[in-house]
Amino acid sequence: MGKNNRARYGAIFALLAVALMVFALSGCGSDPTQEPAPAPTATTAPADTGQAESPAPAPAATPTPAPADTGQAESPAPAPAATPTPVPAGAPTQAPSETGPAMQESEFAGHFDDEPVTIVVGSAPGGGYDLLARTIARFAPQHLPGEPRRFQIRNVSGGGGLRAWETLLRSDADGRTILTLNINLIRQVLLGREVSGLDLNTLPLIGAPTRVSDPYLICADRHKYSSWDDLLADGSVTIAGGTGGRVPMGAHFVELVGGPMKTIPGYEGSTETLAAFERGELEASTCIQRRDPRLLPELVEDMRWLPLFWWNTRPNQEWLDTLGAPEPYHIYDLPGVDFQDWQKTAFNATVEYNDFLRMYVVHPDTPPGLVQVWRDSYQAVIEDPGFIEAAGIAGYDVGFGSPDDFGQVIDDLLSLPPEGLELVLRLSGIN
Amino acid sequence: MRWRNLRTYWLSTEVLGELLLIALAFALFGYLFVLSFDWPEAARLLPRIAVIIGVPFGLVRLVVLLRRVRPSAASVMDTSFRIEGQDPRAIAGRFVRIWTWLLALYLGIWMLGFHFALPVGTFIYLFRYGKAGWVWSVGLSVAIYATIKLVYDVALDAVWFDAVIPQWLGLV
Amino acid sequence: MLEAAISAAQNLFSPGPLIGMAIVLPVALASGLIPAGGLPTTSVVLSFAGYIDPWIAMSIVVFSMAAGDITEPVPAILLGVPGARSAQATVLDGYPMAQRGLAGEALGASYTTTLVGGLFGGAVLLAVLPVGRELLKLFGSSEFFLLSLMGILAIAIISAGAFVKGMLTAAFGIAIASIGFTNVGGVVRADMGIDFLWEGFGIVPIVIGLFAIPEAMDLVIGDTPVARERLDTMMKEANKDVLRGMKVALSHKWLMLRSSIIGTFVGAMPGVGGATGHWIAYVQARQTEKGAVDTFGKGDIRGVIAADAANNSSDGGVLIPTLVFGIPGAPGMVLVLAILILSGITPGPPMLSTHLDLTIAMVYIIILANIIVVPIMLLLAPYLARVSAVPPNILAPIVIAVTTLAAYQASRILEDLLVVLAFAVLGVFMKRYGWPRPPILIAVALAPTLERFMWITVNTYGFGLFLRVQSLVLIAMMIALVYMALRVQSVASESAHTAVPDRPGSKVSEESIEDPS
Repeated sequence: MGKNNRARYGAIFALLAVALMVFALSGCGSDPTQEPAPAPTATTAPADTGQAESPAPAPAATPTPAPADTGQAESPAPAPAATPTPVPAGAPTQAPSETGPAMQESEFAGHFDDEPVTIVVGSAPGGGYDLLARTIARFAPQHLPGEPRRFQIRNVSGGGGLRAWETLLRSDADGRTILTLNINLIRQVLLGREVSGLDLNTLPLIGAPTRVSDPYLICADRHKYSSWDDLLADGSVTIAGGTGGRVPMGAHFVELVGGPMKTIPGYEGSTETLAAFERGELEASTCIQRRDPRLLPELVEDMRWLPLFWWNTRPNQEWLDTLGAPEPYHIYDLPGVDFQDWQKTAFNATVEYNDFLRMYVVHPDTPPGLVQVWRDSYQAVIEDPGFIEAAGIAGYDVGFGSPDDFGQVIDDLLSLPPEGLELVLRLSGIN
Repeated sequence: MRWRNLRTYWLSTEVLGELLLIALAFALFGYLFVLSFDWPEAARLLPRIAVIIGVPFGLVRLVVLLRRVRPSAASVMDTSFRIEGQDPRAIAGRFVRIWTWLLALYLGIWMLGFHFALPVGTFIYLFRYGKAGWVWSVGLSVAIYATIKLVYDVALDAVWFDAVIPQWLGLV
Repeated sequence: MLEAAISAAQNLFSPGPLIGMAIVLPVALASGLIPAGGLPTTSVVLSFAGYIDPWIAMSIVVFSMAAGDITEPVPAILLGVPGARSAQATVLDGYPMAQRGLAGEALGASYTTTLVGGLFGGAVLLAVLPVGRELLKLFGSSEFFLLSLMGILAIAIISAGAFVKGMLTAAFGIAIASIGFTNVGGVVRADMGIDFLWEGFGIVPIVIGLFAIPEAMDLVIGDTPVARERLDTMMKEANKDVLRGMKVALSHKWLMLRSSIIGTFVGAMPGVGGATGHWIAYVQARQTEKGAVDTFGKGDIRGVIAADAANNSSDGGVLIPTLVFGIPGAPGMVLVLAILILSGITPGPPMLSTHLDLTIAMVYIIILANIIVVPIMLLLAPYLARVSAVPPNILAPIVIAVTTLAAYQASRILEDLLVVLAFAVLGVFMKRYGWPRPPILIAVALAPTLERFMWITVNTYGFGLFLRVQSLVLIAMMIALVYMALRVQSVASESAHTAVPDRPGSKVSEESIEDPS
């Protein structure tokens, strides 16, 4: 190597080294502990939760919709990251007396003050699990005892939620790490899979954020059909679904018992689905008042939606009047579709079970008192009006699902006959 | 004569290496095809398309390879190793050296973690084989450590796996 | 609209967003320079979304994405390592140019064409915002499926001369992408009982294993820097090389325009976007430019121009479905949508009415990123070009170390290092035996999109696919491409008797069979 070249290489290395250092130091500009500005005021009407929950994360190269639109598939974005979420400056810290039983407060007051609280999320940033966790992280500091300094989100994808569960197991059982459990892992356990440390009977659940009684409604394209009888005559009406979400699940159920619905997996999100419906690619869609008309108002203006059937809760009359005739059926009253009792039981169990999507758990060895603190605090978060509004913008209708209720749901599932459990799994998108 | 030539050709590294590649592709195609009978129609479509395309083209390639082929004028859209005109023994030596280092680096990462293995592994190679001298070897290794520490740890709050030896020592 | 455009400019050119962009600039530049991996900077911003002003959040995110995309051709040209979804076709001619000591020229051309493509994509986005929804409604899942298919068919075209190997490796890539859970079928495919394989292989460890490590090894094994020719000239005249590259790029304005149109159009197709456009643009250049069939893949600067114009113009394209429908045009757009939501803004049609100024500001940010970053990269280009002269035993370990870090941090799964090693072995074998690696890359990138849109098309359109004008146009284009590929193939076979491979060490083969006796 000549002297000149050596000098040049030296200059290049120096440049590289400086670039690396600048790069490294500039990264520090985003100090995660810095005090952030107050949260912006919501400007839009609350949205609905997703069309469906993904049975497992989709392959990495597939684009994923934002959960405001769907929640059908968790984000498979290629770069999961553990990123800190700062506590809003000036956020009112609720007095311990408002968060839980007095004894637990005094015992655990200050427990969360010094160390950050980590929420482990088993999927990549930007997906449904992640967005809801970040919204919870914004409001949780106000409801935990003491003055928690910060929350951080840790995205650990892999193994359909298994890696995230293992991360929780490896953490200290001190309540400073909580996990938003991937529903698929529960499904796999129901299928008989052994998951280390995961026992459905002793699952250390602190609550679920999306237990609601939404009115779920399916509509057909009025340009193609004028009544349910038309659909029966056609025999096969296409609708996005079949991947386990709670919103199109009714259509999937009708299909599985031989009704005139044909669910098509592959669509990712309500926006994509509604866009396909609008251009005539699909013949039916969900038509839920809180979400769908907001995403594509033209569908209401053009009177495209022909109400067909509902389940869970009856849609309000104002919405049905807007959609126009005919009056939709309750799913079990659909003419020409024969539901057996065990099928209805399985469907009801699945509806209940799907309310516990995105449940939150702590380490199985966490002291009972600390678990109770978390349950009380978590419930307070879910019922916080600010959280409800923020979650609405993020696309979720929220409601507290208690651990006791979940125990009942699991009992119901496990008491189903084998064909009933199989139906539950198929409705959940597991084939 | 023809048979003897062919046999020599078939046993050459040119053929055996590529046969290995073809065998790997066929193994995956076969595995997917057999399993696909257990999957629902929606799930079996894509892998079967891979098999339907891959197997005929694989067979053509196999026949062309075994019948001894003369290179065509057009070239593959990829780069190849630039080793022409070099002593095969020197090439083999460098090949073994870089692979040994790579495997040792990955083993080191598994045993000791990124924070230790990556800068140290880089330093060893730069100093021993790169002849970069103390200053540049240390400087570049420190730059790598700084990247890990400042960018990933501080700025991105990165998650790392628990390396084996720190676990044994009870450090994590 | 005009009012919103003025409001967007006023809000964007205020201290908060400007400072945000200034802070993120060096990070974005460095992130793009890391081969294949990049840095999850956007997910850091995600943590602050909801706490900071949405204008600042969006400025940082869109600017860092655009800037990162602009810098991506650097590792492709200098190290032969493509991006995970973009700057892939750039490798085919950019890296051979660097090997011939023309890295400066390649970078000069790349950045000129990147600027043109980026500005074109931004302008188109701005122009179609009011009618974007109506335009996109013309295209359905059948077209998205056909475009994905066309992306993979591009393999056949670029592999002409080694058509069999190209198709075989493409099928192999699809088979690899089949492993893991499929949302379409609701099953975990071929996981071999390994939990890690539940979600299949990540594309970043595949890129690093298949390209970064074999290329680094090539340097060591061949005991040569990237550049073998013009070493002294390149060190002395790197500035002139860059200028020459810029001039050459500007002299191919129609090629740049055509490629930019393709990049923007394909980019606007949800899910198909960034991964496909630059390949199709590359193929059209190869088929339409004079003499390109013989020179593309060997360091033809027109290959770099076509690929990078489309690569960067697709940024504007992918924002069209993201903004007008709220459907992510590419995987990275998921985070943009998430940040909007956490900032209290509902993306999609409502955003066009309630936050039109912020929507327009995103276009400004893309344009601004190009105007700021491209000149910086052009200034750095002469120095970057000299990386191709760094001794192999110094460059290789650094490339391996940095890419290993990127491979792990892309997923933070330790087993991904085993994936890197496995694909490194495969990559070395493929490189040694003349199996083209790009087909595996594009097949893995596009297979999930192909699978879901294929299933949707089969179930919604069926044979009706052949009654749609839009689909028929695409089918006709594909037939023409395959015909041209086969024609090139036959020409190559004919000339095989009189020509020998012009690239040393090339193990290309096929077709013309000689009697071994």
